[in-house]
Amino acid sequence: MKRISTKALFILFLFYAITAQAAENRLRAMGGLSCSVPDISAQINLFQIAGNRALLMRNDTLSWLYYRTDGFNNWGNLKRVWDAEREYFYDLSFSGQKKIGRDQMFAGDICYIWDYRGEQQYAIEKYPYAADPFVLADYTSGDLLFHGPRVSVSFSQNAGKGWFLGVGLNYSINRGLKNIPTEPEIISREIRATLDAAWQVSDQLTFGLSLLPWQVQDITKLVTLSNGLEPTTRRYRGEFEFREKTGTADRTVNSAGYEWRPQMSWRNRHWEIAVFGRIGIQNQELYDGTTQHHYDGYFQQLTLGGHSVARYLWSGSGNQTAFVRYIFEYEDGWAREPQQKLLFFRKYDRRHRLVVGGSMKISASILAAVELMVDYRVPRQIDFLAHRNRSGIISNIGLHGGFEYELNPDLFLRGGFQLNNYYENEVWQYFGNYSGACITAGFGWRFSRFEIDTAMMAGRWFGSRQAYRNHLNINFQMKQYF
Amino acid sequence: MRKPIITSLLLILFAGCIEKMPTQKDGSFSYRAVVMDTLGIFEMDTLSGYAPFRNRLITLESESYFSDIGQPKKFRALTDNNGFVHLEGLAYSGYLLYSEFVDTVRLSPETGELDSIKVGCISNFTVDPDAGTGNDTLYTYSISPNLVINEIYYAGPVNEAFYFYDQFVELYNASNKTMYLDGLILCRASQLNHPQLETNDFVQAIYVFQFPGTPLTGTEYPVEPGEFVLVAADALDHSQLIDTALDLSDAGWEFYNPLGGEVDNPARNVTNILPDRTTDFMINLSHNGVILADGSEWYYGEFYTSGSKQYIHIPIHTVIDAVEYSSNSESSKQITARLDAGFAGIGLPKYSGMSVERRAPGFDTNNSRLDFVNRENPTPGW
Repeated sequence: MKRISTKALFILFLFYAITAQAAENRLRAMGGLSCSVPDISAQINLFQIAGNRALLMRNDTLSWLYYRTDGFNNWGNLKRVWDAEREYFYDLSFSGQKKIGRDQMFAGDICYIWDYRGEQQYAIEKYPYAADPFVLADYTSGDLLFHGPRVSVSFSQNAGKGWFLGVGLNYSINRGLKNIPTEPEIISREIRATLDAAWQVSDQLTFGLSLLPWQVQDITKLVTLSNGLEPTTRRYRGEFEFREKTGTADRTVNSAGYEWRPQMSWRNRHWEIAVFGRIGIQNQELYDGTTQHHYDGYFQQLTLGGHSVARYLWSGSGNQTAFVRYIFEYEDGWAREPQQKLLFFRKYDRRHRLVVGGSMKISASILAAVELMVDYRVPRQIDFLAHRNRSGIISNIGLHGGFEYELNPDLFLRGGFQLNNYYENEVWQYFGNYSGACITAGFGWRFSRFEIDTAMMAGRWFGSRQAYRNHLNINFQMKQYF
Repeated sequence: MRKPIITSLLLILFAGCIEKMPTQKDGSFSYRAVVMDTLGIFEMDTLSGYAPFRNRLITLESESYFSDIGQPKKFRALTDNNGFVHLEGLAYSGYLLYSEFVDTVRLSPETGELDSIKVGCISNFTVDPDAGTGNDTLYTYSISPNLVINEIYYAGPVNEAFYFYDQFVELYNASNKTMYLDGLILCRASQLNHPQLETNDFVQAIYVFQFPGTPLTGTEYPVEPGEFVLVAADALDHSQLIDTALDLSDAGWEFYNPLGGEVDNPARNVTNILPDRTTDFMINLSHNGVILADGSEWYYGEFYTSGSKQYIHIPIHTVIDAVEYSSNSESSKQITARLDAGFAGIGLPKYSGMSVERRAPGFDTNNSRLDFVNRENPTPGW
């Protein structure tokens, strides 16, 4: 599971960047809760659960501007071989949502990202533990800093008779440099789109369908080093076997794919339910060379999944809720070498996530909530080159809890905690087992047409042999209605 | 009518992007060989009718996969009593196969005395996915009895000043008789992939540096059996200039160009004989070749693409040895396969302080890929 976790989290982050609402930090400050607390950013609807842009105007009818800055930091020696010792991620973003007439809604987001990887060992690519088995590496540990802009836009149109149409587009480009040999320059371009339709059959029942095509191009430029030497790089096929190349050339990785998401939501006075399915395909091709591109490998992955969320509200005001979420994902991937088209890598991954939780208004001014999350994965990887067939459970159990104290109708104090216990079968040799504890805090302030929400999280994961990883996140958001 | 169209469209959308997974797996290939001795070193097996190269360690060295920097991935197995070796779990790749050389003795047919010789086997092959298993019959080689280019140091020392003037070429007399350097020429091969490379009766060169004496008949500069001859680009202690460079002050010979105004060090000279070449003997740091010829014949060939200089043609029948090196195994050949069928120095980086040297002194199959290994530390003169 951890093999894809970094990339999955980043994609999730991109996805939520466009659906983010100003109150997102509210739940972060309350222990990182998800949907057990009714909130503008935690609605059980197809826009937020399945990312259906057609329902943008049904998610939030107001027009607003929104300024955000985030810092996600973690550091320590509890890591996988190719992970960085220190990861500092910062962004600065400006968003807006505007209702255009009765039937159209537009939202946009401009964001600049700084992503620093300190002492990243060997790997000279952004996501060495992504799903594909191709990894570009050298022989040194060094710092990489990626930075660049990301632009997201969404548009929703009420087509009448309960029909809604929507489109979304995310484009990002960033550039990273490693400060010591092999001194590569890494350029990543990513474009993700969504084409959405929704049919609101009644006030209770809505159906939706989304198509999400995407394309990513990563180019790693290897040039003669500042000391006059030619760079020597390793091209891994799997985690163990690699080819070595001395010389200058570009490494180009083209990935593309798309995903279909059929969706359904239903609600009444007490129940809110949303369900969607996923079927996606990813193709990836690698090329070597600056002028003549030499085909160097192919990876393909099929993803199937389902996502269901249900929330029960004891009263219409949401003073007391119960919440359950179940996610299932299945990945089936393979890779072949380029010359003879021989299969050298095969992977299967079944992933289950169950979240149960609830919230309760303990008094007029105190709201408390708790969520228990269980991640259970059974990945299997067959590396035909290294003659390794690995299969073993990876699980993570997390307990998140938090509270909100309403000092007055405009000022809220929030706090929470996160406990987690990670288990990894020893065949993987990634992190080993570890446990972690974090505390969270923040406040919310409403004044005039503004809302300010802050959150911070600090904690540590403890692994075996005194391995640890510290976490420190700081988030600030300001929303302005107009 | 609309439903089938939409359904078909969706199916096409998915099907277009899904490729069929290959059924044949990499890493599943094997290689079998029987190694026979044809040199009369090993005892004949009367039942099988050949002399098996028995109980010897055979190493397969991948051309594609590595285990560490500059270290190809290796598979090892012992030959059995019948000389059979079987290696499994191979990835699709080219492989170099060899045995460690073993010292042995035999009665010399020429002198009637006991000779100490080195014998082993060597070959190369590429996995054939259609066959699945490679099958070979290999024969033992011994050291070639000739004067050969034994080591070339061209990459330059580890440095950031682009210093590479401590290059050298080392010769070795692998025969059991005295050879003579008189009039021999050492040439830098041209860096061209000539269209008629494999049919020309000459090889192209850029520089021609010649030992003193009369070609073919001179006997002033003998090289005894087993003796090394070190020819330095400049026979001085280069470590005085760059810490990591070589001390070549003990070299017996140095390349010298009287037209270039360079310092003439105490070593004897191998002298430039082309009046229009004013540079010292320098060879490329990643891909080039060195030619050793008897010096009896050479002539001017075609003009350079730009400029007024001409390539020098060395007739193949005068060539004693030729070695082509390249850090990239996929480079185009510049010396005909009739003289050298492969590259030495694959994967050897510029300014690495590494050299290429024959697997065993004098070992020569006319394929530098087989004959040479990359040396972390050059061994000039030994």
